[in-house]
Amino acid sequence: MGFFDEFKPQDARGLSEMSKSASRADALRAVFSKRVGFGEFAAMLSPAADEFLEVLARRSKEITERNFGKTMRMFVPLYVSNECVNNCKYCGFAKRNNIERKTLTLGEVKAEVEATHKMGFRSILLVSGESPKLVNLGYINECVKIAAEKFPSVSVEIAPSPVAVYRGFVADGCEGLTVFQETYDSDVYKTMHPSGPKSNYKWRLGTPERAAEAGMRVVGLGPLFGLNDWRFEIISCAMHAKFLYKNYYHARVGISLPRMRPAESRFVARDEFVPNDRDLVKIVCALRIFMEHLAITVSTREPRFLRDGLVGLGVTQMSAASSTKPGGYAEPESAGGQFEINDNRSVEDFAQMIRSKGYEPVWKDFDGALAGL
Amino acid sequence: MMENTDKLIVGGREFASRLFVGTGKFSSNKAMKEALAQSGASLATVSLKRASLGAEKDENADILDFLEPSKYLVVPNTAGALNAGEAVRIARLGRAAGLGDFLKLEVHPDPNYLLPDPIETLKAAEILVKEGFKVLAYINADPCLAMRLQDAGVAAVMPLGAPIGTNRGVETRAQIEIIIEQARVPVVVDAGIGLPSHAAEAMEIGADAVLVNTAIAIAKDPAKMARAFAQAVEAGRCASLNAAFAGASVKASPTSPLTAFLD
Repeated sequence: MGFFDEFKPQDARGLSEMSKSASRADALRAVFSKRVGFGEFAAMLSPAADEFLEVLARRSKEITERNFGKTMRMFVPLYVSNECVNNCKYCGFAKRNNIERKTLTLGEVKAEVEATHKMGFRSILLVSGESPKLVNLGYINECVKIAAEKFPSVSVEIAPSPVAVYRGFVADGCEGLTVFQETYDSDVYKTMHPSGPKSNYKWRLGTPERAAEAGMRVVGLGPLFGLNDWRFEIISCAMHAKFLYKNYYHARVGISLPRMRPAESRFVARDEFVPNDRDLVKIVCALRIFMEHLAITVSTREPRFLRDGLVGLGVTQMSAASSTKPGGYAEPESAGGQFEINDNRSVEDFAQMIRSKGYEPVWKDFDGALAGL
Repeated sequence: MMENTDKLIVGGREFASRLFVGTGKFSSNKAMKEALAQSGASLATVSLKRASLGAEKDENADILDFLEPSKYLVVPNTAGALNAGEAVRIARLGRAAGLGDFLKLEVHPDPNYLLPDPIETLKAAEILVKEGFKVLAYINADPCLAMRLQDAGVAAVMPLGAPIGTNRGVETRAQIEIIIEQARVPVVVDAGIGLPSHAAEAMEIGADAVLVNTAIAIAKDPAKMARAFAQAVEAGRCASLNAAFAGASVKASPTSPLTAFLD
């Protein structure tokens, strides 16, 4: 039985409503609770818990340091193609958008791999739009191989694929997979993804388990905040993570917390669907207290003051100096990007900020030898 | 002055201190180096996955450069290995990179609690011992497994006090006491030790050494915490050798045997 069969959206909806109406006493109980279940998690996300944000932050920091140390794992996204047959309403890569399209040649991929390696990264995330004809899986597999020559850790964020394809990736050095469900509400999902293969909610929802089944060691999930009630989304995502913990215990599970950014699509998110800065910090801390070992990622979508403040509070991995344009590292003036980044510090400046906060940026935390390469 | 006759020997090598230290989770390699110096540790473990093992030097994976093999034995560990095959592979790679024969064997298929897989650990130990490795095996506090590993020829067993990173202390005390009672090789209590008093407790019940990492690495002042652990380990060892009552041991017997009248 997959998560699609197990997931009960009405439970997540109920918890979200409970969260919104939680009393001060409910929040207080949750913030100091010894055993944290979904009820406590929801109460920690409540408006009433705002008052106790400092307590949540302290608790989250202690748990994070015990489990992850005073470290921050660093990674870089590498966009190999912005070709896409989907028409997601919010995405800069959507088919209808008139942007300069580009799929890197394998030679260009190599140049990007070398450029990001030179920047200092040892963990890379290959990202691509979905275009079965122009960006086929054989091509992605070649990209994995090229990246694995230089990078000890290679992950992919690509069109949902069958287990057999992922097995091939793993054999060639792929450590992890990231796939954002965007929204866990199937009706909203349908509205936001009107055409193309991505319109299949169920196939996308089963992607993390197929990746884990294939032997991926790291599986990343996430909602895209801005499409729907954020409490429902993060509670559903936590349910998804718990499902993976139970059923695929080999995999390290991570959650990313992307908030909608301006993009070529000019999609405007409803304000109440987007967690504000305090809410985002609350989400990070509540997730950490609820799931001690969860990897939590905050990318360059977020402004620098927030990223700086989140170091040590529960976030365990960050990207830096990212480009969402294919070819953007070797050739900064390349094709169209997916969204605008918000923190454009250099890698060295960013690493220096982490060090100044008493944390060590960790570049390498995996070795291909473990995977038999 | 009395000669110190209380010596720790593991894998044929003598260790001056009974405190071993792990090198993960520090805020910087510099903080790690200072803490190691203050700990007086005789052995430091390092994760192979964080080091650069190839021929090329990598300044972004240079943890080995901050270790001082002249002061303590640097022992690679196999963290990240999900099964015996992966552990054996990375162990060989570490040795090929010049890290010697000592190896902390750890196999944890569960990346969250990092609890060791007993079956894969035994399999890997059998292979590695045959290849000449001096294996220090990280295990749950399972006395039968400890015996099986000793049969396989490991140099030491390292039962956990509590899961890695929990700082909860010697929660598995009853099992560790049995392991110590039955041990033919040194017993090093590893994982879960969060305070010097936990380290002292492990030593008092007869452990040969303890390994500490998280509690030192995330302390406000790692170097001072390292010093505190060093003192606790010494105190615990001294107590285990000299305590008048043996209340800590499963081999405890009343001071006046009830059957003395038969003598």
